[in-house]
Amino acid sequence: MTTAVGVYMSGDSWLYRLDPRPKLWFSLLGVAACLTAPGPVALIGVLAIAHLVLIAGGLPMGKLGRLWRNLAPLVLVILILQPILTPGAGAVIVQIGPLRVTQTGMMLGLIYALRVAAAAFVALVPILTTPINTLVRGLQKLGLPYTWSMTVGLALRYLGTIGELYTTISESQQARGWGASTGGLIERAKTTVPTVIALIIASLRLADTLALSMAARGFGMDRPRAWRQDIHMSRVDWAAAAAITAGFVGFLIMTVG
Amino acid sequence: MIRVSDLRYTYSPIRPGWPEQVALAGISFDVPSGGCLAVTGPNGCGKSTLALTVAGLAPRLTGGRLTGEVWVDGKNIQIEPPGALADVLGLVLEDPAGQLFNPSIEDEIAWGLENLGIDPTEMPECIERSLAAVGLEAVPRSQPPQTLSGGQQKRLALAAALALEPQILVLDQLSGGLAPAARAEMIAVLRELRSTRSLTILMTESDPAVIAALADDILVLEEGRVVVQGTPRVLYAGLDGRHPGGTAIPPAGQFASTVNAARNGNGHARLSCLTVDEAIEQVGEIGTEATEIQIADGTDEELDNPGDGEEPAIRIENLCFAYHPSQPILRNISLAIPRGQFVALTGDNGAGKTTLARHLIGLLRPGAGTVSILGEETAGLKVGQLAQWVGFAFQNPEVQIFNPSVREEIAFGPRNLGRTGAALDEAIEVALLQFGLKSLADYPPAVLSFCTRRLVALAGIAAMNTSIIVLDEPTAGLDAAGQARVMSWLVERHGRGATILLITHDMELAARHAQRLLVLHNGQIAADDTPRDVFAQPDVLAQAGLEPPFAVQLAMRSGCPALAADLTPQGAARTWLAQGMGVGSWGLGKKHVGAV
Repeated sequence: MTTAVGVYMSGDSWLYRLDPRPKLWFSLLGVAACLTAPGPVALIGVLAIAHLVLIAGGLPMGKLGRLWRNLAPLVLVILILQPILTPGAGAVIVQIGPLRVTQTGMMLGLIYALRVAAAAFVALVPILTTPINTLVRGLQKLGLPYTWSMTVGLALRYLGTIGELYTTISESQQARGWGASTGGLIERAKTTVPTVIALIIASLRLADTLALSMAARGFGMDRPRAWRQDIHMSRVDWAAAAAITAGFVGFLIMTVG
Repeated sequence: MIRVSDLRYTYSPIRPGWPEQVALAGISFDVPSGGCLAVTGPNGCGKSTLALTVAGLAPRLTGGRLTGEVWVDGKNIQIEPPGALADVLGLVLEDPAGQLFNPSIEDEIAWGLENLGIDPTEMPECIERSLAAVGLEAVPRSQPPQTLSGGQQKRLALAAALALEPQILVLDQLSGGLAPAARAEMIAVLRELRSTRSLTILMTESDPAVIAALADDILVLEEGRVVVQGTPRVLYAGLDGRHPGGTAIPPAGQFASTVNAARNGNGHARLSCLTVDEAIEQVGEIGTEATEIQIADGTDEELDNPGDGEEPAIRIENLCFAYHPSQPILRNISLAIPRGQFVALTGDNGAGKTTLARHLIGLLRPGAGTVSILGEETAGLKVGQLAQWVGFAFQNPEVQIFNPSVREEIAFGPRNLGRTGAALDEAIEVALLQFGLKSLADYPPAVLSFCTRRLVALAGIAAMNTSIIVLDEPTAGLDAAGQARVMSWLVERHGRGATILLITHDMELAARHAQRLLVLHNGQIAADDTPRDVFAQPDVLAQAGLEPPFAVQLAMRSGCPALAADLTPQGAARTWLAQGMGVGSWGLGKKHVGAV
């Protein structure tokens, strides 16, 4: 059974056992690949590799499905708006009044949508499969100051909590007769205002409590910090880092070079 | 161990030109080594500011201005560097969500040890010792903290503080939001800690049962000033005529103080009980029947039955619901609540109370069966449509607050229901008065105290003026005055024909107000009757981790049904006095514990 803690899903596989540093390296190079990929085929390749890694690493398919459901609105918005807002040159496929959709615009929309999806999935590999404290230690060993690493870790940890809070507040507002608008995009966006403002207030309160409780337990003290379970790069970790680097170089040669 | 001298604390004005907010207005006290001081008082009286100041975190992390002196373990906290108290003083706050952020229980406890640079080889032993101290030794170490129950989360937060082996504990509203069973566990843990370790404790607390069980002394604050100081026994039992401000008193204390006030010092020894056990001891084993007595005396009103052609306010038929198919939450529930009935709904954690309530406003749809409100099936209605008839407040209604002023916040609900003009203005004014918020009408509600924010949220529900009101633990965490305001509103609305469904663990409250008591257990109705008849089935309540109210326990254990005549401690005291039981027939029991 897996349990979600923030975005992290507990598990026990080679991917979970890997040191966080090769996984962070995978994310960094993966995002770089997304930015340099010249076309949709290369981006689909990156997306496929990220999926293969997550599935081979034992992430439940249901979780992958949920990630896609969460990401789908953003991908769809890019797919729809990009061709309309930046039609570019080329053959016109559809024209309604001043709005026209061209073949170039469609292709750009597809590329941007795939780029966002692929970058999101490669970035999620370490986040989904590494406990927050190990991830924090990994970031710190890569040179990030502890307070910064902890801030990143806490942001990831509380994503789930903030999501639950959003649902609770949204339901509270509905129970006070605040209904979802059936109007246009702007009208629909307006209906989220009471929820978003309340969410910001509640999140600030949560952050206050967190800061107090951390300070009371010695966070920020002028003492060297100890680690109950430190991380160490094993041969497997070094091999994984080397394979990731080689894969990235190969990708560059095939797509750019 | 803790010395506070003429402590004054102010926060900046909420808006430019407004006066500074005075949180503490010159208070002084000492807590000796090994002592336990409870700071209590109405919400907003300065309790939490005091706790954070003693913990060395205010004003560093909270803002505000401090004068006076605070000494903790010989250190002046104003000149010590941040974190200097971390291995001397442990702080546990009310909200576990903001304190438990690590992926597992052992990581959570180790985190503080890591900050202090403790040798990693010593950590496993520290972790085990801390978990054992709070009774969590059986919980898997790799379990994520947020999967624990509310009570276990608080105990874990306490364990994380204890791991640093502090000499002082500061507990800010530790019992807030806990169900009675979890609260009893927490009390047991703290009592054990006090008996086995030399801990000095400063607790800010609203729950008189926790204070009575743990504290050596009480400091009652009101508007940042100390209004009363004394021992729980003297203050709660009214032994010297003083009353602990606007704070709640344990039922046994209410019983004792009613008796003591009636006797008015005319030569009788006084009661000083704080628990049922002590009350029994002081009153004596009386009556001829032993323990199993029938408190349902047949004079109680019968439950109204829906009928005579009028649809009930709420009708539930064969309701089943599960979030996951393998884990049913509600199992074939059927019930009808007639219009105008005041129903209390109780049950253990996970019994399905909140899930049932969410069906009434359409936030959940039945897996099987039907739910009807005023004859309309909820399945075909949106939440917004149901809101015309059902005023619904979640467990933490204060999270919904978003408007720039209290007045606007209260107006949000009725405005959504289409109220405008004079009707809207009147609804807002009535709600402002009813909840004591008139003077705060233009304040931004987000900056108000927890209790006031909750009252604002409930005032917003009140202004919707719906014919059915469903509230999920509305009085949890409120001070005595706040609870009184909420119940006064409900009683008034009930008097005008509203149907009330109140989810609560507070059996004293159910005894006072409810016409009907529903007990849920394991997704099914375990009892559904008048409160008096349900209280006569202590086994059913025990399943839900609850105990009957004080008067019922006293009546049952003393063998005198008359003491439960009106189910209140005051009623029990009056009955006892009226029947001449104070001297002679019942005597004062074996021991005059509090004779003064």
